[in-house]
Amino acid sequence: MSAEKRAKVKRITMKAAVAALWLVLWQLVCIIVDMELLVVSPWKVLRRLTELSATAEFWQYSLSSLGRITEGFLLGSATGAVLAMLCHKFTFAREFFSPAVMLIKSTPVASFIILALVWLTGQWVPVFISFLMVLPVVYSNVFQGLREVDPKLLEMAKVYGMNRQKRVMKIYIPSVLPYMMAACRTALGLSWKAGVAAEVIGVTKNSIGRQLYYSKIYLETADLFAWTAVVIIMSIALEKCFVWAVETVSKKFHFGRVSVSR
Amino acid sequence: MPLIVKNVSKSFGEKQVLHEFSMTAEEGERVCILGPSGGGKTTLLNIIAGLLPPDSGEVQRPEGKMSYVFQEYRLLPWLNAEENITATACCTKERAREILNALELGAERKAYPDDFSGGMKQRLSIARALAYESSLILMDEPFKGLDPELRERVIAYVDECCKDRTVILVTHDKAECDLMKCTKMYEM
Repeated sequence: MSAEKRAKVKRITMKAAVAALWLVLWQLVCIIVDMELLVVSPWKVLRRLTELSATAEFWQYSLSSLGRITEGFLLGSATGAVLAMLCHKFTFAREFFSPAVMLIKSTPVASFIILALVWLTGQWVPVFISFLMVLPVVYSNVFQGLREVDPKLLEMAKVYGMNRQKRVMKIYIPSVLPYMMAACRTALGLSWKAGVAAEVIGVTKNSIGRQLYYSKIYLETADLFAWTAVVIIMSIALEKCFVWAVETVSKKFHFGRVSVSR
Repeated sequence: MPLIVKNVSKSFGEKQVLHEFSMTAEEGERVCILGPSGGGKTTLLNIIAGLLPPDSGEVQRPEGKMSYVFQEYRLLPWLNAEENITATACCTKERAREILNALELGAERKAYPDDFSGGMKQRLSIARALAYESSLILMDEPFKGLDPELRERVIAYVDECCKDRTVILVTHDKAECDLMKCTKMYEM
């Protein structure tokens, strides 16, 4: 077995061992507490998850939440990136938008959710909240990435007569991509957390958030754990898909090597 | 059209690095600029390249494209050796490979600059400048960090590729000046 393969096996074994250890700890806590209302065993959660996934409603709720949060995430990422470019190019835009971004960053998410409930119809609240959570993170990182573009490379591009399109494709995008990736990975987690919170508070129709809310009302702790597991699984899956998509696009358009640790 | 640098001065704060410096390079001529480190050689090349404005004096550049072997390489770290040449110098893959092979980097054409030694980066930077179809080549200490035998082979190839080009070679080693068959020399 090659050294690389051995290292991979070791890494996977380590991860499996850590996961098993956490499951054992969870089971131990469950035995010690001995009250299903507070903590449900991992096996019961798994059983409930299996039961839920056999129903059509489970997929309807999960996919609806996934759609809303992805929509908010994509809108927030695109807006954040465009805003960062504008602010990098125009000082006035930077001065104009900076207080707004700062305001979004500092305002508690619950305040935005309540405001959004007043302003928007139920389905749009989680989209809007995800959008708001993603925007400042992507904006700040892309703006920072643009500031860090090596001026010496831009000088080189000038000497070699690289046109604007080439400078964007060969210098700006590859320079900013790692910042954008880091931002999106952080923002994805945030958009799930805030988006599902918005669904819980807004009791959005056909959503995971609504199921979490009902779990609380009817004291169905196993359901609460099972739906939470669904959120975690979807969040991780979406992140993996996103990283794969960026790497594929980067390869296709020759943006070069994107250093992304999985 | 020749390259003309006329009474160019440049200061950075209190420190004057160029004082009324003048030089000319006829079309296809090879000119060497010799001098110790910190003597303003790189500043002069940057002014010729249009990257720095002179405080006074003027520069008349020949028409056509210009390439520059920067002292700090200025390679794109996210592109491999071959892509660094094709993306910047707008040449074909075949031409890039030919130059890389000649500069003994053929085996590393798919490797990234971060995995290169200083000497390899230097040769890649030279390869990019040669691949770009320019009439004027500015070279800032281009053979620094190459061992003597390799340096001779690299210089021989650069000499061959620069037959009809104007070359401004900045160095502190007179031997490089001779190997490059420079016909004019300025000391700073």
